[in-house]
Amino acid sequence: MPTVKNAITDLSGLKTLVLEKAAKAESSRTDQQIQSSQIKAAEQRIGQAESSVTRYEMEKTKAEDKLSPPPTKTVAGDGKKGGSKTIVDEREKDKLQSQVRAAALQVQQAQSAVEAARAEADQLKNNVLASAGLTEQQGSEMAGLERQIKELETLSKDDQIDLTGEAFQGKLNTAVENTKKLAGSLPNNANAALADFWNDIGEGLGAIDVKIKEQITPKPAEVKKSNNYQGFFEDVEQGFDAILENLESRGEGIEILSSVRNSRDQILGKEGTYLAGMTPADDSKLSGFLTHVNTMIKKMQGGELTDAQLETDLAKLNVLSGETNTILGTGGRAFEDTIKIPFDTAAINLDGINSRLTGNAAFDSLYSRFEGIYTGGNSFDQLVGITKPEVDAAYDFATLAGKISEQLRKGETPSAEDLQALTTKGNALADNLENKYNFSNANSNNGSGRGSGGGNGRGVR
Amino acid sequence: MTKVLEKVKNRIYEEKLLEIYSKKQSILDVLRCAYAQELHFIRGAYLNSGSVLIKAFNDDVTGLWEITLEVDHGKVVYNCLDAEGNNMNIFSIPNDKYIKDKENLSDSEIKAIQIQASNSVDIDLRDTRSLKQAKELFKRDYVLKHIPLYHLDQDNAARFLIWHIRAYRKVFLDYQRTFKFLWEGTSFKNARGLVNALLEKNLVDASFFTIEQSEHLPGQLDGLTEIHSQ
Repeated sequence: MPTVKNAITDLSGLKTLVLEKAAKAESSRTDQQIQSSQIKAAEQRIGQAESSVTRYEMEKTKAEDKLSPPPTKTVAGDGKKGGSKTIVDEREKDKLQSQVRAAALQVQQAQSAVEAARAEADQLKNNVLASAGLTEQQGSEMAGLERQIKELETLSKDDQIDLTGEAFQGKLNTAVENTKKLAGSLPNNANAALADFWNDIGEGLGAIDVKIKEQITPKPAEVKKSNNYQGFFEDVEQGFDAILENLESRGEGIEILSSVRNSRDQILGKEGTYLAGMTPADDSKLSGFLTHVNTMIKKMQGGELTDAQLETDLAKLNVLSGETNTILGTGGRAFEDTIKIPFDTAAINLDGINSRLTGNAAFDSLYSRFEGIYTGGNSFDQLVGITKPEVDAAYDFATLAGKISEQLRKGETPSAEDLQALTTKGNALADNLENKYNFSNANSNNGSGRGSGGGNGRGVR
Repeated sequence: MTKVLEKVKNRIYEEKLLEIYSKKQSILDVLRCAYAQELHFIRGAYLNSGSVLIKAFNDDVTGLWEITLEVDHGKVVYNCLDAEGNNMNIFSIPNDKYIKDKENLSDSEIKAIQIQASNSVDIDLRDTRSLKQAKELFKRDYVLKHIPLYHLDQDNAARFLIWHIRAYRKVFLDYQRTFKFLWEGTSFKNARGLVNALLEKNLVDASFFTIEQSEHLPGQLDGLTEIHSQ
């Protein structure tokens, strides 16, 4: 353990040493105390003298000459210890003390001047309004406005109070009117002290504004991402059903109801789509959409939605639904980075098997087929819209290929069942890629067991 | 929000006071001395052939004193916790330059070692029990052990510390008592606060408060340890 040099050694041995020293020092303690107190008393006298001398600033040069070196002198020791000792130079001290008296006089003069200044400033303080260029009426209005703002600020911090309600808004309007009135009547440059007043009022109004915004801004809806956004789709379904129910009870026409149903169905139609490529930015969009759905429901249930507001809210719902549908349809901004993982993994594992497995015609055929797909000029964006089960199947295939490749690397023999399963799963995956997602196959003539819509060799590179 | 009229009153009072101060030469002369002394306290003074640096700082917000004693091996800080300087915190911390293998340690490891070898205690100068407690604690203090004083064994070192604090407390309280009439009753806590306000408002020419290094209370800090260590 690194330590402070000497510190640990010293500290570890300190206890013994301290006890020894304590015993030894005990006898000399009284002498030392006396010595200390004498030195202290002498030093204090010098300190006072020096301190006062320097206060006498006009004679600082002269004082420095006298004080440097300090007014001490060295005399022969008392014989007991020999050597010499330093003592206070009394003659010098007397000189300094005469200067102290002069300095003290100056401080006295300054004290009198300060007292006079205070009295004068105090008088002006009592005429505060006049000295600030304000009338009594203005002073009273300023104090009144400050009380109003303070009350509003206190009220705005209470979560139980509806800040959009009539009671609060009424008080706020009065305060705003009074602020405008004072802004017009108070002088702009009457006194710097007025700046404090306006700063306080501004800060108070700012704090109230923040609280009102906090209360009227709906809490962003949570996007439940687990299990491929299952919770999100459930929330969307429930939300749209509540909106549709309310629209029906309001007697809205078939056109509006159909539009909303269409938005709902489009989004819910994306359920089951592979969504691992969704980014936080995508989720934020989804949250914004869901928040709007929740806000609409809240307004509808509170009976606050006028026809005009409903029209605006429905238009917004339509736009946000469209955006959400597009995001879900593309599988998220990181779709390609995510979807390629099982396919790249499978390619590596198939290469591993191919280099060690010989005499297995079914695997050779599968390998050739995937080789054709990988070199067929395809891209992962062709897989947009792929479902979660399909991606799971690709992972399943890649994992099995990994297991067999590892067994071969260790010199073990893979089971016939695993090899059969690999061929079956691989061909099923290849069928899906070629038939459903139009993947081209550069080795289309070598394939076997593929579906009717197999690769045609397009895009061979 | 405080009462607006009170605020206006205080602001006006201080503004007027500064204006009047700026016109009274006797006040300005004394203020300049106090200001020079505060700067000197902050710059500090070297004692014992430059081996000890004593510095003092008067906080602009609280007006409380903080005194720092620096030696090559670290520093001891006396932090006043009240205006009279009766309650203090004493804190010592070793210099990191003496940490073994320092170059191979992270900042947090260096900090941990420094803290391990440091001491901190609150004392009340009117309460002898707290002084004894501090004395016992600082008997083993690494920094104090390295203050170059004659006959500074562990017991004396700790006693020296308390003695030192009392002496410095007197120096700073004397200073405070002599000059505080200048800023007492205002929002300013020291001469620096007053001078800065005067300069900000252009009430006094800045050159008036340009203080030379030598313009302080010469020797006020120098004597204590010099004499003690002879």
